Amino acid sequence: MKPLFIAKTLEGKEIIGNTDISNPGWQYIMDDIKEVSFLLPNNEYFEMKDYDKYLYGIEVVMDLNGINKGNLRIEKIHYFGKKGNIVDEFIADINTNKINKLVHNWEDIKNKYRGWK
Amino acid sequence: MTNLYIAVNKVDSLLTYRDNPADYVEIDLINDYLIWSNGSIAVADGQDEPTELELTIAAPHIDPDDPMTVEKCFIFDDSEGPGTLREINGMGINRRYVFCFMFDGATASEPQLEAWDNSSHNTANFHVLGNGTPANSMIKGVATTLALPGEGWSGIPIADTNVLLLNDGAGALPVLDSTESAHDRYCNLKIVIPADYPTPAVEPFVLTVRYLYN
Repeated sequence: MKPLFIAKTLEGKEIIGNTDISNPGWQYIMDDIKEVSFLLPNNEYFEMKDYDKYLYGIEVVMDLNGINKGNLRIEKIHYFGKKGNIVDEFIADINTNKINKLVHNWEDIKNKYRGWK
Repeated sequence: MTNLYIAVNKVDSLLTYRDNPADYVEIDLINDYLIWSNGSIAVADGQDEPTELELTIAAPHIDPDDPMTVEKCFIFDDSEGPGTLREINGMGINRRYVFCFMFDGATASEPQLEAWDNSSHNTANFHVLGNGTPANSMIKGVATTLALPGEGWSGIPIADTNVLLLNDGAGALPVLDSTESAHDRYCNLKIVIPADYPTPAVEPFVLTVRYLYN
């Protein structure tokens, strides 16, 4: 099992994430991140650097009815990098391994997500 | 992982889950399910699990002149006796504590309620979901954690990318403080069928809650 992320802080400290996707450990990071490698669903790492801030999020869904009702299911993993007023968001679909990229304005999403480092 | 538990009020939607948990059915999503209906003798609070015929007889009828709000929503509570229907109190009217979503920790995005054709979450083409136009969805929702929705509330049409933000648009849920066991977020829902809608249908749409954690 590989860590879900390996981050380097501005002070050069290495922070290694958990291997358990139900508890990645990102929310407990107290330091600002300089660069980070995120584990993709295909078990390879994806390096992000030269951003001002980063954010990691596991997207889950729960259906109230239908064939998958009642199960909290992971659908996608989100990797964000903020540079100036622009935020790149990479979204990996855990079923297809496809990655899509979205670009946002920082002001539009800074309060929408929690855990910027 | 931040877990989600859902409860519906079966007694008095003036009271919160924390104040009166016995007033609520915590939904066992594997065995319990929601039924939207106009109700009947067989499809009523305290009755056992209705048959398909009984559900058909109690189905809402399209009104030729006015929009029609589906009168009742029931939870089939599998844990009560052999299984019992309980009418959800306050559904669709000016009440706050009707549908309760309980998150046992922080989230990284604001939890949102969505509606889809099925559990693949790719399409919303059912008539009840607006027939491909999310703004026309007949499913209306309003976040009520902070306040009553108001008399005759219109709500947000829920379908596809039209979602109901469960934290009133205030963003992700914070870390729980030491006095809390969960973040409770409330909403009210209703189904409003437009006047003289031309296509009667039985459509098993899927309600979904989506959020990020980290």
